Amino acid sequence: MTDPVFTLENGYVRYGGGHPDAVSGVTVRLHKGEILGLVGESGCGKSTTARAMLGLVPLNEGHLTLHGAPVGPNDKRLRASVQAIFQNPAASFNPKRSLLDSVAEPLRVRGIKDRRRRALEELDRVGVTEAMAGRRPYEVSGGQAQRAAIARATILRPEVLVCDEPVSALDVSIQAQILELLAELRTEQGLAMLFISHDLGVVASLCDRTAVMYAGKVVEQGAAPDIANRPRHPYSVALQDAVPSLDLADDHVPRVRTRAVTDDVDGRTLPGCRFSALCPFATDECATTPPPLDELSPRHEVACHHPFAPLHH
Amino acid sequence: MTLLSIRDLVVEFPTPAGVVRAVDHVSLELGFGERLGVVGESGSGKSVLARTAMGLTRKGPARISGEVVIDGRSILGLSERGRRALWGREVAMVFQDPLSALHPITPIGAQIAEAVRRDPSVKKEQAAKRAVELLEIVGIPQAARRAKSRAHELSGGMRQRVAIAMAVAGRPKLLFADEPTTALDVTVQARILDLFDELCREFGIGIVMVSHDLGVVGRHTDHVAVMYAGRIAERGPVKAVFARPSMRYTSALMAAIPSHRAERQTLPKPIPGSPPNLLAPPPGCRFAPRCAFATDRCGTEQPTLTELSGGHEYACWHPGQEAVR
Repeated sequence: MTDPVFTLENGYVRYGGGHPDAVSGVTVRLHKGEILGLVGESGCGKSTTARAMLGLVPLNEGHLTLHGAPVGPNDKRLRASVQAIFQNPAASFNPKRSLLDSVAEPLRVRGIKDRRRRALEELDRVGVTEAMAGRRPYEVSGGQAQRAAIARATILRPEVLVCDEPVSALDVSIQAQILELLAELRTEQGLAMLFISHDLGVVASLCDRTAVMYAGKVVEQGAAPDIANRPRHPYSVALQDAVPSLDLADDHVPRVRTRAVTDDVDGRTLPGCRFSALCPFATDECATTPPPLDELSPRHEVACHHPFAPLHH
Repeated sequence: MTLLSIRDLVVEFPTPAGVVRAVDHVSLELGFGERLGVVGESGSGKSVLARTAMGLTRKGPARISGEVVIDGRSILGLSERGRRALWGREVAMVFQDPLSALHPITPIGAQIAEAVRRDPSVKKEQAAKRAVELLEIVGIPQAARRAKSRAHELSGGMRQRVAIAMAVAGRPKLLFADEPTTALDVTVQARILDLFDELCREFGIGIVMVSHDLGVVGRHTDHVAVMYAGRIAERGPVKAVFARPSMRYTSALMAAIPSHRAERQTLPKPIPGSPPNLLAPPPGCRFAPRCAFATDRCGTEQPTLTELSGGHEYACWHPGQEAVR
């Protein structure tokens, strides 16, 4: 295992106003040529984690490291090495400028010459033609705009790409095109990526590793196929169970039935395990003692006092 | 008995740039207590089809021809008053964003009671009691207390439950649900979809569910219609269609969906290009420009629906399950 390129170490983010931590004690390590998927439901803190790693929200505790050395949120090295793409690409562009101008902008900021040719080259590499490049963001399809956003993010050859729900707004036929492009960037440029998505299928098919977040904490982390098929945290199991599978031969009996309580229990306010109010396997220990994220098998970590074992349930 | 019958429906929107034919000669049927899924990508016409079928498309801006019959009554010729009498009583609807369907400051119990009272024989106190019952049916805990809440005090999943309670308050025979779970988390989605199944089973409500999610439709409907560029690409019993997709667009769409049970990285297969511009759709098969199996015939001659087996029909000159050559 090589050393990580970019990490968030034990990060805490508090938005204030008496609210509990949005993110509490999250560690994310990104390696060269590897895509880490970050999954979880609305409000679990996955986007806040991404924003903290981009230096867009301040960390209350914890820090970022680049090649092992601590790096501040406003450090120039962070700007040069870590780039991002988001869910709504059209909104991330200046509506009055052409895609070409926007993609060339990072070159202008750095005082690099020959900008038009280089921007066109970069756009061509991601599949945006010269004719399309002259258009404005709202004059092209969502797929074309996301391609251009990728070109703008990669034109300065960053080492890390943070992707927050980059394919969620796209139709599946177009979504698959963008996933193919991101997979190419991983292998051809060796980019380290954080890939945030609520779609477990997208994560299972693209990512090398997957981390599952619940109520501000990482509850499980491991190789993507393991998290998809052999999850050990009861929450991860419930999450996988809830996806309606297109494989109709699969009889689809839920393995974990969460306890029926109101949707609005805030796990962050619980003293023990944050999933304990919903977990069918919760014991007194779970209600009082937060479980640490422990290595259960090589490279598979779970934060649970009673990890799910398919044979015993 | 047929609950919903759509015959040869055409919906066109004249625009300054030309006429957009959003729905192009579509016919569909649904029985009482059955569930129909309408799937397709953005611009396939699935929402316009559903909205027109429940009388929501206005005739001024749109040109509509064909026939829609719900429980023996023709919908398209109804007056404004006639359509209003239909909504809530015969047909009801649930949309993607429940917040826009709910009044911001009226307590949710009062809103549901109002829907119940569209039946003039129901007294005020009865309606309030029925509202609480409906909240219980859709699985809202502590319903009597929750009835006093306002929409903004509830989570997204709870709001959608309230919208469903309101929709079924008038005991409709037919429920249109347009992307009802798209804005929800998967665990919440699973509970809402189970609720639809229950409404269908216990109250015999027919459901038309419009969705871009093939998994949702595969698991929670009986019949499916796959739409592409305003036309039916394939339709039939959902298990038959997904087990043996035949129109190449259905096959390609299924291959483009990533599997959440992937054992190793297997990227879904993209469909090249993008859907046609409906101002100038390609002649012949509308999927031909993106299809790996298209021949000259596909470029000129529109394929008609052909039956494969019991009600399973596809519109394709070169049918098959493979998406790429």
